Amino acid sequence: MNIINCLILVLTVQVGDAENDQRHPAAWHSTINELGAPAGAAFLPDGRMLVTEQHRHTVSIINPNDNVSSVWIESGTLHQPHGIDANDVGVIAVADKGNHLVRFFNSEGTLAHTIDGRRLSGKRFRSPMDVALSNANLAVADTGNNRIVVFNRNGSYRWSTDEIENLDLRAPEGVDVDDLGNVFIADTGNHRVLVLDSDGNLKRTWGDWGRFPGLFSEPSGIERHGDQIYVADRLNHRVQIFDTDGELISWWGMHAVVPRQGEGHIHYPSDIAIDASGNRSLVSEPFERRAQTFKPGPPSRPLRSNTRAPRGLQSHFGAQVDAGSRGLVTWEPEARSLPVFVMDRDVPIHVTTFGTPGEGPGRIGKIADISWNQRGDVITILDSENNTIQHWKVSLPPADNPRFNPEAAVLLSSSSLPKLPDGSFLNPLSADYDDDATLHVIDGNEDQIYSFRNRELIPWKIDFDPVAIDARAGTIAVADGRTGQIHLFDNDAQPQRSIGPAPDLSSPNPGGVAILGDGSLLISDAGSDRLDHFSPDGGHLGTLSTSGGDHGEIWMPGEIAEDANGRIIVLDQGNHRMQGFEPDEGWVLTFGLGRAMTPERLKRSKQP
Amino acid sequence: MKHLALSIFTLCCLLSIGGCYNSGMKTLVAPPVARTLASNDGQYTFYWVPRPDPIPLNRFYAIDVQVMDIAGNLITPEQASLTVDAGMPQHGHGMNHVPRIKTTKDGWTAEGMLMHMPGDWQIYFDLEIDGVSHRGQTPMNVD
Repeated sequence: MNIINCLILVLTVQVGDAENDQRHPAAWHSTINELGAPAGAAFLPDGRMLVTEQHRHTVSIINPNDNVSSVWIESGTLHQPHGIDANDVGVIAVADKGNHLVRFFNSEGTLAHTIDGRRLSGKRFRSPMDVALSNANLAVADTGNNRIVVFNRNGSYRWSTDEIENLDLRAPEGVDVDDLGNVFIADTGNHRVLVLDSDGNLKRTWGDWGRFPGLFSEPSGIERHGDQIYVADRLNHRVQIFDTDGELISWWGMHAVVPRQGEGHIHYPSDIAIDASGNRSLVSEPFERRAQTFKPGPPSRPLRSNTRAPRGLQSHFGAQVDAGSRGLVTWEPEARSLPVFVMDRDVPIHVTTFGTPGEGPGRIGKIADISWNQRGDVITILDSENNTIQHWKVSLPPADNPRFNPEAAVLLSSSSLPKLPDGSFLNPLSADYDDDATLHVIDGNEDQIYSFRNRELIPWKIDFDPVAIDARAGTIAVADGRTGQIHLFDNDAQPQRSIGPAPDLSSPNPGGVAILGDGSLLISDAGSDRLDHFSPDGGHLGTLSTSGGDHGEIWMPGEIAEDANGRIIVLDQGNHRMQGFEPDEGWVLTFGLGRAMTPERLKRSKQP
Repeated sequence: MKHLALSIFTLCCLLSIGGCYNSGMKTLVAPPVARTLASNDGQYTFYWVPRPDPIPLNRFYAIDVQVMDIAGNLITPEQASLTVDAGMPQHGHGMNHVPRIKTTKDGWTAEGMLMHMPGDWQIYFDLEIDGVSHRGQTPMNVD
């Protein structure tokens, strides 16, 4: 029996088990659409639902009777709110990730108080991504500090996982706590679940990276209900249910065949909440800007969908892309490898893929950014899961014979990411080389930019929230995550001027920024699916794209690069593809790992 | 082939002699049958001998490794660590057995290497020194 047959057999057994188990709220019930990248999910004691909207910086409340959402906490207080939880007495806690705070609201949505972790736990929170409240305890997933911090009901510090030997959490994104004080942790970067008792003693751990039921790929949300533990298994696009011994009970969710497909298809779930009765679950899917509710019954396995497939190839690219000489590189989070394309033809040619999952030299965890240094065609990878910086040399094939070669990229060297003054690793968010081969890196925990010279980090002096960076011809462009502006600097980090944002842009969420060969600038916006073009002196030249899935439309765009043909390549992450634009012509290319589409080919395909 | 072996032997001898002038540093005394490869960044040279040679299909074998830096100094296990691995890039997989690395006086031995399929393999040598890992790799057809 070959591996595929084994896989089918195992999956069939698992599906059979799951379908016979109708106790869990796994049957699709409703979808709440048009949310602003909802990350966290929670039920109030009265059955209403709360979701945090990262892109709108708000919290919305959803009425269970009509599934209509309305803003519950207005924008202005929170920045990129993530996890949320409510206890039985009407206290609501929110992980205010972008502000590195945890905030508490009363049942009316009024801010009660805020903690930053420094006074209580001796260390400031960094990008906290979840909170959990019980009647006895508060637990915070302090993701950027790779720890879970536990406080008691009156706010006194109890313990933190970084004080426990050999636990070594990696960017934990999910936490729950029960009334006995047991703490349940989604250890996202280690692809496992941990259960600790009220004193921080490890009771149980299970899971590893993988796709079979029982394994995880970036478990992000966790919820205990009774003696069952629900886990949002993000890159496996499913929810898994375990007993308290870690035995798999059931799972549900099916990867969407096309983006936007719902009705039980789950796409990159972030969090899960179960109501007090256990009869309803709420799954947040920021990538689809929606949340789905489920009721008891067999796991939803929708057979058809009315949603229309976006055209072009679907490749599970991350948000990162960079171009250099004739090539272009991106990565695939689910495969943990990097495909390289040659771009000097009308249609890109996929010429190699390198990297394999895991730890150690040449292995890939979670790529924070990729930078193609044109000097010698060296690709630098910053891996925030393995805390490594790797340099790969790529030998592109000759222009007249662009063949696929699996050995075209070789690892030159690998080392640990540099450490910040407090001893923690740099947490890279975006990086690029300037013309002098100096790497400039944005740190997501400190909201700071560093220049990396001679293995030393040199901080910039800035007073904004940097989220994306691009360098070219003596200029460095940095996107401001709060205003949507582009701030320009010289190679010595001296400020030059600021441009933008686009006049009609509200609630900016920059995904990438690029300086083009003619000195004009582009900024993508993941929240409103835009690509705005500015002249070198800051004039808004236009918006190159609109929201959607057809050619020329984008959904949650990531980074931008200019290829060897002068085309603007956008990582159209929400549509699982890349697209090319030219400022004067608009859309000129759609491609992924396979067939590409150009306007000419599209015209031919429509001919009878 | 004779010419290649002779060249390697000559190179080894020259390097050994050259290393002798580096007072205070250990020099390489690699066996004449050693194969050589440069790290991908050109900073180090790996001398390796498979046992048995040629590498067998679907049978465990070992590799003895010595490493020299660009100045001709022998790198010892006290100064660095080494991992050895192999994979088939065209098939996207590695070995199905994890080799053990043993240190010797002047180098390393990777035991438990296993090429379980015929075809084109790559053998990877990763030398970690001063917090930086340097890779050398070589193709190997096994049939």
